[in-house]
Amino acid sequence: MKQSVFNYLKIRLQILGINISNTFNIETAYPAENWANILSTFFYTASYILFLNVIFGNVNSLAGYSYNDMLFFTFVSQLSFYTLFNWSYDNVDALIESIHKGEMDLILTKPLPTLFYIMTRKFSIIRVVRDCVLPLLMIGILIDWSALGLSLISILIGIIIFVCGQWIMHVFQFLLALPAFWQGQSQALLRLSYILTNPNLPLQGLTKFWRIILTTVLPICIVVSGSVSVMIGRSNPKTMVLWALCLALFLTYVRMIAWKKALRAYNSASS
Amino acid sequence: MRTYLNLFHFSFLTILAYPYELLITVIEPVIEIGFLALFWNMIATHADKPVDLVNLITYFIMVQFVSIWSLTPGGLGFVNFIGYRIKTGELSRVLIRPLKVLPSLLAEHRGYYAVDMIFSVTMFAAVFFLMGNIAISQIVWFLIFLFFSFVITFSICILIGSIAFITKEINSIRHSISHLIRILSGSMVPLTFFPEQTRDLLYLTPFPSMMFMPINVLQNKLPPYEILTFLTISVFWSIILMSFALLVWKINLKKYEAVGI
Repeated sequence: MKQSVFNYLKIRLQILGINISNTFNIETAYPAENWANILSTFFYTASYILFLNVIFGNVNSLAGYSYNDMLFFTFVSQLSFYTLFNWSYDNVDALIESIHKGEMDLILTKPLPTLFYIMTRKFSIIRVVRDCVLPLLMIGILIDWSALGLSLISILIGIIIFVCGQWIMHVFQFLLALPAFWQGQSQALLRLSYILTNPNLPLQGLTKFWRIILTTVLPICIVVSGSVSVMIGRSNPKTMVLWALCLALFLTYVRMIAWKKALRAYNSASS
Repeated sequence: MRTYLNLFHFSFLTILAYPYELLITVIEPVIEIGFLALFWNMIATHADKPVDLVNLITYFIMVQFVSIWSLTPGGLGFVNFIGYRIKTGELSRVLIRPLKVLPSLLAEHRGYYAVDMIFSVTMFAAVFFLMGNIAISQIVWFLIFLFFSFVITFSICILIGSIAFITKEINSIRHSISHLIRILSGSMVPLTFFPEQTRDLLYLTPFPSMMFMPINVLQNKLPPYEILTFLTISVFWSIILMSFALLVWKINLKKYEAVGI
């Protein structure tokens, strides 16, 4: 019998709710760890602001980006980093761990939409608030928002590009994890995404060759560089948003095909 | 010594189980350096005063090299290595061996990074090629400073790792300190870019000895008095931090409780 749309959504919402609650319990097991994490994000943000200050002590602008523009760039970059690592990286990492330790067998026997369950296993609201708020506040206070020349339409288009970019980065991380189905391990490859997902390079500062590579073959510059350049009026919004949407759609298809192939290649560890 | 080498060898063999993962480990620093080169190229193009790009790229290659040899890859990764063993009780397994705890942990940890260490030789060769002429004395000084960088980093790792005896989970504490070290040691941006007064003040702390000083003596033909000043600072912090770290470790180890092995 075909599942109704209502049931389809109901099951997924239930899974999401259980996973959020489970992650909440894990995250609150070590209260001191949460405070130390706040301290960690504080130090990281402070050190990055210091880094920008040191750089702008030697240059007036970076690829046409003023200090204020670069602060905004960092703001979006931090938002992207913490969001992506909270909803995507941890789950992809857990997928590799499950395959490596043989836990995947158990997951596959559960009468659940497997891919959805795996990709929402770790969804920590505490972590989003804990990791995101302080850095964004610190950077946000320093930004002269009126000097950025933001408009409602550019922000909206920027948000669409940002969301598509997040999805693109997720698929990228997901694809990097899949070799684990064949090899049993893929942690090093996933760790590579840690470096690749946050290049902090303004699009206008790249040569034409690198700009094409980093927005097409390896589209890691769309989420931050793409959305920021559109929001502050440095790139054509129509071309960028269209490209981001097409790429996101194409990669959704790739993700589906890759998942099916990976499942077929999976060798059970226990039976 | 032979037993420690066996521990090293065993960890090394564990890593070899996934040769394809190994390849990625080798590619990783190359990509990191590539992105840094792109970023600093942007800065060099727009800088008010001339920036020597080749010098900057060699600097960041050396940052990778020093971090591999002085326990900083993955942001003080050795801290996690200690912390995990304390948290899970695996430390008991190390304690029952008729070996010294810290050296055996170090030998095991180094084994996991053996491939990185081997690959780092090519990094050094690249620096040699890019810099043109490096005097033997610069290499000798570099190796001496690298040793003190290792001692200071090892001491800091023991100090942070010891916190796991009290709090169990130390990942975030490690992150906090690692971020601080990244900027203050010159891993993120060479200290020469800092304002002069800040730089002079930083020289008195142990952080530049962890990264900036070894690279600085390799890249520049510094006058002897400057090398001696840097050396005095490095030796001073190495002795102070190592003594303090061993004391803290000893005190906490006495309080360590675990069930089973």
